[in-house]
Amino acid sequence: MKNMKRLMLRSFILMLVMTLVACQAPKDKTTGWTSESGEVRPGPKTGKAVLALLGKARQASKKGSLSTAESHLERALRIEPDNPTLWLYMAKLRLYAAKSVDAINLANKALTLSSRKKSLSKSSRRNLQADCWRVIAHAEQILGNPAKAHKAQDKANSLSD
Amino acid sequence: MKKKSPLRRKKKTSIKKTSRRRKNKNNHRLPYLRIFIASLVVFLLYVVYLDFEVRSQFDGRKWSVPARVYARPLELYIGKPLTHEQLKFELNISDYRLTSNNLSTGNYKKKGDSYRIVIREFDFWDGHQPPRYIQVKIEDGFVTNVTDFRDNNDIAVVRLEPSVMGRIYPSHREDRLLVKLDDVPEYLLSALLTVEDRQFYSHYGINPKAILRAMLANIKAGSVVQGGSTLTQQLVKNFFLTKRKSLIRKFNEAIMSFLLELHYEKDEILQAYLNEIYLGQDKNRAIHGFGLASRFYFDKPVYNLNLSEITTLVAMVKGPSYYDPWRNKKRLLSRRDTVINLMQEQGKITEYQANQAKSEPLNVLSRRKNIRSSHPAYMDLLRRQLQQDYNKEDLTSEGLQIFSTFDPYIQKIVEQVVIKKSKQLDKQQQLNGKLQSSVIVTNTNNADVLAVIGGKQPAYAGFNRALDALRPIGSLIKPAVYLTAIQRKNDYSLASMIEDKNITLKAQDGKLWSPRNYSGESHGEIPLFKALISSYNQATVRLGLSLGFESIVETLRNLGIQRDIPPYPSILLGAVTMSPFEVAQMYQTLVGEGFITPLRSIRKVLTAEGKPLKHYPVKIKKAIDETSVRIINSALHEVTRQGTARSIRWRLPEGLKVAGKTGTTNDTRDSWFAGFSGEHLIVTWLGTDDNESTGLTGAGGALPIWADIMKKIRTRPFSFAYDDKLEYHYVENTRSLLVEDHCSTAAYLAFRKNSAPSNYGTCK
Repeated sequence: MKNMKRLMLRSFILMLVMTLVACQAPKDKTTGWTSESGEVRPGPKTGKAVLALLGKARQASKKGSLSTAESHLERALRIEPDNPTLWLYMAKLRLYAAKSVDAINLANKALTLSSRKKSLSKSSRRNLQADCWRVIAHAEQILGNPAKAHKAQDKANSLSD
Repeated sequence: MKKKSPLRRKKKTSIKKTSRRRKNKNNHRLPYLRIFIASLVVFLLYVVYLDFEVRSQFDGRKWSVPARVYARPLELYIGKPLTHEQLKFELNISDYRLTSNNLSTGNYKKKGDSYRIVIREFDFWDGHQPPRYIQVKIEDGFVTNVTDFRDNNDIAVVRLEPSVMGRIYPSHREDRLLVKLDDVPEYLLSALLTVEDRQFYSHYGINPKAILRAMLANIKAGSVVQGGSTLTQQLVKNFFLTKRKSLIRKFNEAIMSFLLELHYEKDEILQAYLNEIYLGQDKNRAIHGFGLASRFYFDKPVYNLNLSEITTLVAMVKGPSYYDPWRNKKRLLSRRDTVINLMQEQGKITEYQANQAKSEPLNVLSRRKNIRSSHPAYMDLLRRQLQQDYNKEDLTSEGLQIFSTFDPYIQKIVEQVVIKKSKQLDKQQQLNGKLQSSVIVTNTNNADVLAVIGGKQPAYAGFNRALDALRPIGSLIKPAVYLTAIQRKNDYSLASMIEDKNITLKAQDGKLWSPRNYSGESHGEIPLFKALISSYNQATVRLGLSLGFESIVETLRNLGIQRDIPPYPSILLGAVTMSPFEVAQMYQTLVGEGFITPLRSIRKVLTAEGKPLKHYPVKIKKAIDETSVRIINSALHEVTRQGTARSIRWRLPEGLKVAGKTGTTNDTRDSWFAGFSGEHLIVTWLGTDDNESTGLTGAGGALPIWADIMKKIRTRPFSFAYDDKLEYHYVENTRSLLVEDHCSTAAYLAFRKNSAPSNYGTCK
């Protein structure tokens, strides 16, 4: 019974990991960089590279090679380090790898970044934050903190209303 | 008592004598046999021991291959900030050559803003990257197009293979690049066998005929002109024995050669030889094997060597120092020609080939190109981080591949700035060359350590000040004091009024302590942020006392400081000592908005065969609420606008917002600056090793270096965090009043919702 429950939980997390790319493609962003002449100016959008790497990460996680997926994701994060979606994905990978404490920290990072991300629409920000809280709720559940899990789930629910 | 007759006595004596004689006779014969048997046993045991040695060494760790440390690979994708100069630098350090001919692997062409590069195949930790045929366009400092030039298809993202930035050597500093027999050109093998050991495939390890021939030749010449050693003997000599010449060594060599031949195939021995043989010296690095030698002398993989290059390397086997291509060029040329002639005599090459090869110059790389810059301070950090997971033996011999976070381009910029500026400052302050400096650059987002400098001469190994110089951090500690206040959200905001007045308290040694401000003046009632951005000591001590040492120490701990901090009043002004590395860790948590991210120099470790050994993932831990840190960061930005670091306004381009803090210790012994943009955190320190006064404040010494680096690297500006919990206001810098944004005394600061001052004032 317990095994069954664990199996169900794991499949749910895997589903979460795999559906992520579909539900929240990161938006292209324009970032300012200093140029040789000194002034700060935006460069071309980097979304294409990030999407390609996310695609690779998804393929790898489908095949079950989580560390390869994480490597692709890290590459994407070096390109868009303040993209909360990438951090959330990372959190989900760690959750699936049974590293619940890491998952909570990474989901918190995604929450922190989502609050300052200007390019996110209000609804996608809420969705993203709800997703973060869901990851935290799962991780807390696995860590044996039902009260914290419950609280996080409540937050997720209130955001997805 | 009965007396014994003399006769009887005599007889007995005679019997005794006879038996003793017989015994003696036997004793005379037996010892030789015994000695012989004993010697035989000892000899056999010795042979068994040598056999064990030979087999265990040959089967086990055949060659010690130092760990290779790779820099981060350069990623190419649309939107990547990249200048022509940087791309050329990166191509150069990865040994790409500009060509006007047909493009082959490892070459590139430039036409206008576009580059065509054939990227070498490479086994990354996340998979194999085959050779890529890319065209990259750079416009206005950004990559604007990446395609496959063969079919014009878009490429979303591609990596240049990373350059080797260092190696971790064993104490004897042997270096090699392993080659397989199949990769070695046929001519190399035939040249080697022709010159060194023609009967290689038929002898049993030793070749008595060759020894005899060599002896005759040597007697005839009156000196040693020829050696009779087989390749197997040479291998044994290199492999197992010391350089010392002695009869015992010769004896061991012969036995071990025989044993080696007994256990292993000829091809295995030949392959071992190709990888083991000593072929030169690069400062204190010993070049072993043809794989590395061909890279070292010709910058080519061994399978691409031509006949002239092959015979040059074979010529050097006899004595790499005697035939040094840079010092003894003529000597080597004539030896190379001898090798070519021998090959021709033996029918291995035609006369035409021989003449062709002999007409070629040596073609060895210029010495200058070969001397790669070294980065001892970074390597030191990496080694320490690795030693937490690996033992020294594995690091120096197993050929591990270590993928670091090192950014060669940023390191180059930092080195240039440090060398130039510290010399200038030293001269300006008349410090007679004593001024030292260290710098650490990290990525603000993932705590990758990008560049490290441990002294004013970055290429010299030695005292690594970035990690080991423990110096008082002065006012760099202040953000921790003010952060402690801001975390008490009901008590403090950046506009809370605090007192900057004389204060006297008892120090840990029982003496009275009256801290003074740098200017000597006290400022009375001031807003909290003003005390931070102008680095007022008296206000900070008063605030710290009211907060309590324990809570400040706790904040420091939450910022990632692990060392013990004594709860003395003087810590409020930074009497606590830290290394620049620890300071970077502390400020990393500030720029990370309350998440502790351990600074890391390693991404991955792979075995020599490319099997992943260990992944060093991004580790983060939320330690402080982000709102408080964002508030403090808004004040640290003001430090660079109108605080102690306001000179940054003219040092940096206008749009490049940054945040940071100056630090100066008593008698200007240490000059610090720690600060960040949106992409890079830089910590700079200046001072002398014997703790002399330098006359440099944080703003006068460390800051110009910091700003120069920030200006020269491509970076993103620091940006304010606008979230639901924060609001931003212009605040007057002497009173707790809101003002219009055009006021020259206005500071733009973050407040928790509904905690900002509500009254407006007029511009002063």
